[in-house]
Amino acid sequence: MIFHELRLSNFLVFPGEQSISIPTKNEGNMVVILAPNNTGKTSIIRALKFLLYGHLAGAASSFEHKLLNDSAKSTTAIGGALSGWVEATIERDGEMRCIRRTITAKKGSSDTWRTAEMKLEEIKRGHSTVFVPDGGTLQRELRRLVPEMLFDAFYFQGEPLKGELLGDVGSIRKSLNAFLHEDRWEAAEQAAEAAREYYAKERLKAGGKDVEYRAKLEEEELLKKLLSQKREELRDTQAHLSEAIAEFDETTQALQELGKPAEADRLLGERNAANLQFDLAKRGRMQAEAELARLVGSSNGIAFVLSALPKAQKILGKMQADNILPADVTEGFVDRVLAQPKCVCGRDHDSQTRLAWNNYKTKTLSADLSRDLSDLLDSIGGSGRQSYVIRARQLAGTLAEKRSARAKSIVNEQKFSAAVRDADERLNAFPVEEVRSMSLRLSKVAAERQRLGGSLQQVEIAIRTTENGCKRVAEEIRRLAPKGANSGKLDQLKKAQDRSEKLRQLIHDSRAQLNKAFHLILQASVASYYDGSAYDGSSAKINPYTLLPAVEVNGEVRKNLGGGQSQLLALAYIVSLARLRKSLHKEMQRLGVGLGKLDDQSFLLDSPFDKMTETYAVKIAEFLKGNARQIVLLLARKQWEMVRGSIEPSADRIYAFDYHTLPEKIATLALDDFVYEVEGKRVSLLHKLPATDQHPHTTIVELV
Amino acid sequence: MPPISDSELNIEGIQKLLQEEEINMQNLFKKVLNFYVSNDAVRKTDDEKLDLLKKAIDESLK
Repeated sequence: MIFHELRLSNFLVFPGEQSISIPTKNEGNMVVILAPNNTGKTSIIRALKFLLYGHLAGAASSFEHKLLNDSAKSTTAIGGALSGWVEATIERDGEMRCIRRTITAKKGSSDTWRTAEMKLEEIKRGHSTVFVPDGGTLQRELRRLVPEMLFDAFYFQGEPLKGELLGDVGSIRKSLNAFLHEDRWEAAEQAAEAAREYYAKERLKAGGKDVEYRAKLEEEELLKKLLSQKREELRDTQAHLSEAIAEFDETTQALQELGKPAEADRLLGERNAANLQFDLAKRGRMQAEAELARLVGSSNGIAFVLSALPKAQKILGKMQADNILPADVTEGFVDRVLAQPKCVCGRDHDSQTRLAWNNYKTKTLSADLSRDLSDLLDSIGGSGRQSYVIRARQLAGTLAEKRSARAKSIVNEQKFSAAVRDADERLNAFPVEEVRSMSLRLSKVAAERQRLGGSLQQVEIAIRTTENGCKRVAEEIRRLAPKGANSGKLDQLKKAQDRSEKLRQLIHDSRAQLNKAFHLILQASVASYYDGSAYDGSSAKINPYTLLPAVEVNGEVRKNLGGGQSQLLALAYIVSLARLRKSLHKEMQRLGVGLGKLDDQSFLLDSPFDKMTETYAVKIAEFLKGNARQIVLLLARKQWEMVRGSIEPSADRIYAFDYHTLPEKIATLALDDFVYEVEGKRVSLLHKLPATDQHPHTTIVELV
Repeated sequence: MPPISDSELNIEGIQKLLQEEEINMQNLFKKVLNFYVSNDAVRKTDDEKLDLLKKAIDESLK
């Protein structure tokens, strides 16, 4: 249903006659109403609800006059009557229609009123204006156009749709049934069943008094009902089994992508092996270092003095060559000293000094000392097995071996330390918990699949048994059927009964196909709007049985959604729903079912950007543009500022609610809330009432 | 984001079901949907619609 114009007269905060005209020429039309809080945004929604359903919203029955404007009431004379109404020009099936709902009340005293009348009329304007009262048909039609339970979705009042739409709530499902005409299909199926039962009863009547024949007819009826139930059960089981198989495949795939449980064990094994190798390498290094230290320690400094040996070797060698080793030096030296009359100390030689000198000569000429010196020369000379050079060379060789072993150990230590770190990183990255929970889910789904497979077999057996029973009874009925005049009638009734049954089945199967098609379309459409905009990687999912939306993350339904997120989902859903219905009408027309040609849905959204971040607000504003034939947004200043950049260039018309109030009231208001920037100009929507008027009210002004 | 295309609702499933039926059954099905699903449905009572349905069944058997 599309609105062309909405008109109000003396209704709630709107005195006199005021109107909002809504363009409809484009595929997407947007009207913005700039309305500070408490100036009439909710009143517009209430007006629509009143028009469509006679809903009184806060005014109890017999107090309908409370919906009339206070200003207008104050100027009505006592004993006089006042009418207030809401009227709309709507487009329906290519035709323009004008409907009005009116309240008329009588003023008893200055503060008492009595509702005299409330009526719904269609206004036909031609050469003259005719008001056609509604006998009930118009009201039923309005309820079909927008089921009351869905009204809040299409014309919502500032609260994100959480509980009602985003969940499996029976009453919303019933409204969806009406919106997508599923209730009418159900009525057709039930009617076909009612026709079948009618023909079955007629056959019983026409069967006459033959008890056995009548009993067989009743038995056939029972068997056919049972067969129908079992076939329904078979279809349900098949559908559930398909889902279980699909879920099994999906979960298997997901598990393969995450990694198998054995993978974690393998990584752990790898890590432990690398750790063992690292310990071995470390131990090897430490051993090599200890060995090196021991070798250097036990070398008696050979390695360090080896550099001095060549010099010592040279000196001793020269001394040997010059025969001036101690032995040589001592004998000649002592003989020369003894040949002198005095000793080197200056004393005259006597027997004691000669003895001392001879002992000295004996000592220094000792073979041991000479041998020792020769040995030392040999050692230094490096030809003997115990020579320092040989020993130093051997030590150097051993040291080199040990250093090489140490270096190898260090390389291995580093290599296996890196392997341990790598295995640790991979282990940390491995989603152990996710894999565990996914494996559990897979087991459950596998068990369910098996159970359903078993149930399917049982139902198939039951169907075969019942079909055989039906054949047997049909044969018995043919045998027992009365002959003569009645047989023709009985035959005709049987054919009609069979045809009704076939019709019922055809309608039933077509409903299932339709539901499947609805699900596919809604899923694709809602996901295309929602998935790309949600920050948390969640995705929209439509329940295939209820057709209601939910949000899923990693296959789990998320219950608590943020304001922006749930609003985005709700709006994506209702826009998709409206377009689906339009598409449904077109397809039904092609099928030859007269559902009407044009059935766009309008949306009137009061404060749709409340309680969300600016980023979500802008995303929703962008999404709303061009995605519905008619959108009317009612926005307080803060919301306007958030989305102005997105919406102002696209708005086909901008209205404002000018608020007129008492001077003393103005002092209590946040004045900034009444100042809007529109097309580069600052506009104030707050006005002082003249002294003669004591009733705050709102006037609708067209700004752009 | 691309809006849902109006031609995307696919009722091929229903058309396939109808094609498997004889022409009388197909016509009966469409008639019944017009009695119950079309816009005219709100203008008739349940009893009126059931009578129309039975008449349509009888005619389809001729």
